[in-house]
Amino acid sequence: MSVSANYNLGLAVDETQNMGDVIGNITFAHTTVTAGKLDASTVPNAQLVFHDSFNIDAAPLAAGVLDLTSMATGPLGSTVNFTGKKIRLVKISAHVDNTDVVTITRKDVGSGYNLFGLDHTTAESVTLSPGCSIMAYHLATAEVITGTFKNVLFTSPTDADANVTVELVAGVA
Amino acid sequence: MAVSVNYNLGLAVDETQNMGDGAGDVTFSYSSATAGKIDASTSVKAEYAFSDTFQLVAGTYTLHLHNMVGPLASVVNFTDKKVLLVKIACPITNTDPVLVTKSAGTPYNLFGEDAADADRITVEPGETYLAYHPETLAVVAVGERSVDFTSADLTADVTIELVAGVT
Repeated sequence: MSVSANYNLGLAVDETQNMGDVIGNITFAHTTVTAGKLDASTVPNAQLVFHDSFNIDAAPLAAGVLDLTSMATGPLGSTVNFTGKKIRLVKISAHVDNTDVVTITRKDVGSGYNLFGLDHTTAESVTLSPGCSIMAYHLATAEVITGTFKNVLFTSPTDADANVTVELVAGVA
Repeated sequence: MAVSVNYNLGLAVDETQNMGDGAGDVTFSYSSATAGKIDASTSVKAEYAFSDTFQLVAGTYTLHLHNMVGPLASVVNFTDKKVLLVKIACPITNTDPVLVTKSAGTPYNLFGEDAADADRITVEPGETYLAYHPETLAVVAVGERSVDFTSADLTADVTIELVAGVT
């Protein structure tokens, strides 16, 4: 199996200010490009991928938990297992029709996997309102997924069946 | 002042599996595009922008969203606006991660609904985050306008881009 991942975290802003009658408008550009391609030959590399849209009260989650070592709904009904890999790319979107926010964090310090921080010992989190997206590029620094540290928790205060789309790319350095 | 913003949270992945001698290789493609353009005329209205690369001082830095330095030393003030897009990156030369969180005194949550939530991220050397919040973060206000950056790397660098507007 091989994986090729093209990523782009692009934000280009033109800010135009009127400097008065003599000078007129001047445009200032705020642009940062973070883009590239990961595959088996790159550093970091990409080896496995998981992509799915699901309600947080249904499979592949169990009690709101995504187990990174056992993700159903891979191609042809396969199970995707990230054991021994690190997360390189994360993209999570909350469906615009959700009725409340969705918070994504590690399950707990004993079994959690931290998608937004160094390792399971800290409790980083993001909360996505309906229609929101977040994407992260982790160079080579994320924690290795193991049989112990593997669980990502999705919760919503009132929208029990909130829908999210998750894309994850994993590999080893 | 006018702002025109092109954003793209793009991730396109091809996964190729060998299905055996009969079928050979089969490629499965996964792609999700969250991209668009916002300005003063769009429903998600972009009005202000801020970008900077700054260095932590003694391992800490507080960004006040009502008092940021813009082009030609102007003051960028997001008061009464909502942050719509956030991009934060740390260079590979940093020696420790940078924690991004709401400030204690006048907290603004860049990664959650409002200051009541405890959302935060850690940006390790070489990492980048981009978040799109269409009109859903809190309004920047007197009591809700500051973001903290802290690190064991006392002089860590951070590059940030923010776009703000109103609904």
